[in-house]
Amino acid sequence: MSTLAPPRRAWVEQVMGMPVSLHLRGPGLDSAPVQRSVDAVFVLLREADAVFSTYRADSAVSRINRGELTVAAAHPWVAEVAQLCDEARERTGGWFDARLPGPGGDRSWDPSGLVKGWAVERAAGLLSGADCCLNAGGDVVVSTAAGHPPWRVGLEDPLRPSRLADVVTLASGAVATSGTARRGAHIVDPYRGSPTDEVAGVTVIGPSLLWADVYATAAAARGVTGLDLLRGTGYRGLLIGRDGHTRATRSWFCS
Amino acid sequence: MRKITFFLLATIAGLVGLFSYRTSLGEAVPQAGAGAATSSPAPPPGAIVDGLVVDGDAVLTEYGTVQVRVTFAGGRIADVAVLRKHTVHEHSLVLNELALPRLREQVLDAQSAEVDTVSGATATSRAYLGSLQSAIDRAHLR
Repeated sequence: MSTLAPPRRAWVEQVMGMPVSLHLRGPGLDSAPVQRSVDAVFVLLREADAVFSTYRADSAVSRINRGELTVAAAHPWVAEVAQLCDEARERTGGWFDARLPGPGGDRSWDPSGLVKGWAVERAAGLLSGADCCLNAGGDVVVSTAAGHPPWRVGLEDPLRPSRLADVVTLASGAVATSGTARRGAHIVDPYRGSPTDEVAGVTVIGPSLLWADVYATAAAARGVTGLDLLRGTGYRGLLIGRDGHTRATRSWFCS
Repeated sequence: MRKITFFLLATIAGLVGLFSYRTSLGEAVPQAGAGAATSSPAPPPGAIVDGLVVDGDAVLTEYGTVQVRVTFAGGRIADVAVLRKHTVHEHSLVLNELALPRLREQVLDAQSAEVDTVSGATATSRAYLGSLQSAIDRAHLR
């Protein structure tokens, strides 16, 4: 029952405007090869920020939105992400949409809602199955080495952020949370084109962070019935509404 | 609505048994559920050792059977897991404020749950400063 805790080390950097924590467990965490792997993770995240940030005037996404660059001529990541955005819109019945209504009524392309999960999953992949937990502003990817305990992931209660709504143990996979707890109503209902705040927070767990994050964002946009989007996907979810009611997929308790 | 209320009351009844079990240590022998499908017998008093796992009574409700498993560590409740629960709702079931995840939370919050990481809506740098995640990070930075 009580496993001897393996050695553990954390690295924290500010990337994409949010704190990113990388925790590794096992021997040799002070070695040069480990440090190189850790550096590679943060380098990839910074490069993704440089390509995709809508806050940077010189990013590929900003230049595409100004008509100065085409997707085909941009960094090859852009075409990959553009295709994933289309797939995400289809998979969520339109509840995830990277084409946001702009101030002038024109739709601008903002793939931020997908890029974070995509980039963090890709960065975690650089660690090739090491015993690690990568947490980027509350979205988490974990993998566990044989003989080590699974990671215990606390889910922040969106209505009372100093408390946890639940704790899940996860050996391998991703946990994504979307909601309005931290930044107010920043999730846009793609059908009405206006911010929505019916959902205080929704957490989705599954094998891929990209898709967990897409489904969490789409479920938050859809409202209190958002978890219906997870039907048949193999992902499970917990949704807490502003009304104080908690909803969960049946699969939530089955693991 | 009446069904939900009944479900909750039954669930709470199960949890009340659980809590009273904990607070009655050293005073009385914990109650074994009458006719309940428990998978492990209630331990004698004073037998709270690390890793002790106790299954609560299975509570039959209109919606199905609810049963919780409590794990002790360091003489305290370390985890509460839901063993069995099902419902007639099709896909996403609605839980009231006091239903399972919240009951679990209340136990964990009271014991200051030990977690490795925290998932939440995008943390800003400012929100991060006072967060549980930053405390966890600080404990493992070099």
